[in-house]
Amino acid sequence: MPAKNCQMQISEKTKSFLVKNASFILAIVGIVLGVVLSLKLNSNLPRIISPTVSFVALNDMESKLTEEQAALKKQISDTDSQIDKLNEQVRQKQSDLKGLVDEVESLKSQVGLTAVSGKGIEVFLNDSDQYRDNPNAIAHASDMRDLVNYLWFNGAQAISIEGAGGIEERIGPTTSIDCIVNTVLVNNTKMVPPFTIKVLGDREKMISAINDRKALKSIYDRVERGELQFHVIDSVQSVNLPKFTGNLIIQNAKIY
Amino acid sequence: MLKFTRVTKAVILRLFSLFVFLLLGLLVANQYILYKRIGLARAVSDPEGRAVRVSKLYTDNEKLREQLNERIQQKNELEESASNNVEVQKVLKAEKEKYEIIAGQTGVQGEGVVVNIGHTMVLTQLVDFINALRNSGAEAIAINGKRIITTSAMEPFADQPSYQIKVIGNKEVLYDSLTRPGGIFELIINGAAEKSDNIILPKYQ
Repeated sequence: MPAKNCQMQISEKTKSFLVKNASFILAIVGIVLGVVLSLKLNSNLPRIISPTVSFVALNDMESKLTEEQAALKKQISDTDSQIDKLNEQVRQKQSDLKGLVDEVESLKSQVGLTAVSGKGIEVFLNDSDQYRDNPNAIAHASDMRDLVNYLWFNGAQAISIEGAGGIEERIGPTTSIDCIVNTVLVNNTKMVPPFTIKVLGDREKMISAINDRKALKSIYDRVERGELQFHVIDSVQSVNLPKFTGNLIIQNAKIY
Repeated sequence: MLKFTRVTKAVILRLFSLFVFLLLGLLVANQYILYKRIGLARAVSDPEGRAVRVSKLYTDNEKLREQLNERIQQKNELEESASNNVEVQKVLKAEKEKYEIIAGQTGVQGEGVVVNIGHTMVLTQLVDFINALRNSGAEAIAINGKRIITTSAMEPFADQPSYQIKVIGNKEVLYDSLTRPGGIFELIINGAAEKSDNIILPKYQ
């Protein structure tokens, strides 16, 4: 008899609890049912529209073409070195042509076709380390275009951009800096962050220009919000920039 | 007329509350799933971007191959004509002319396009516009009669009331890059382009 009384008491207590908290219990039940229903509705896998085969083929093609690009640039560089040696021989053996060879060498240096070294700065540019999922908290190609233009305006003599993995491109006569979805192309060479912008020129002037928060407001606003990493690398006093290896075909322009 | 007892009203209210919270649960869960899918879509390699990169790489490699062939020919000519001053001079002069054009040391002429923009451009638009022209194979450019080169900053040209930008290069490729849907005029700044067989640009000053 006592057990039966106890069960009746529990039952009464439970009933009382349920009645008193009916709304709350309904709310929990409703939400749980809603979540379960949503998961059920979203559990159907979509039919494959783009088979993985084409993705793999595209991936392979990009890798192959990237390797080919690097190989072609190396071949061009090697052939240039051979041409330089031949020109040197001409300079030594044929003194009447020495002046012409010197002019060509000087012009090549002016247009970025020779590696350069000297006093300069390196500028670090990278995506935010705080907001990794924010598509705006990244170093954009437009940031680099603006910075390159700004550095020329402030008297830079030569500029290069280096990405992760040591891939470096000199800014030259036909340089374009573009963004394809989430990668940056400099001279049509794919680069990923972090980026280092190397600048040959007056160190004090360049540092002052890069640290000018007013002139680079849009960049520094994002730095303040933690959406970008951007600063001069203090430890660097001199820079080594490679020669320009982008396309340099002149087919339509003739001297006037 | 329907008369609802107190109990009936209470039941209807409870059912309505259940439905509302069910909907809430549905919405919250859907939002979460959508958020996860967006993250996944971003994390997975982008097929469209990859396709564009592949296309650019293919075109760039073609140009590099052409450039390599040009260099090899130059090297061969130098080797063959090592003892012949006249031939060597010819090769060197051609090289010198090419670099003089690139360095802006001489006036230039050739086919290309003339772009007219009848309104002001801010600095960033100019930077992007010239970047796009270079990506389209521009060999020489002048803005409002002034030649620009690699190291030319765009500050002196910004905020002018109008622009005439002359570009020497393959006129078909340049015109298409400017005017096609999704091209330079659509993405950066509106303007008008005209092909020309003979554009003359001054030297850089």
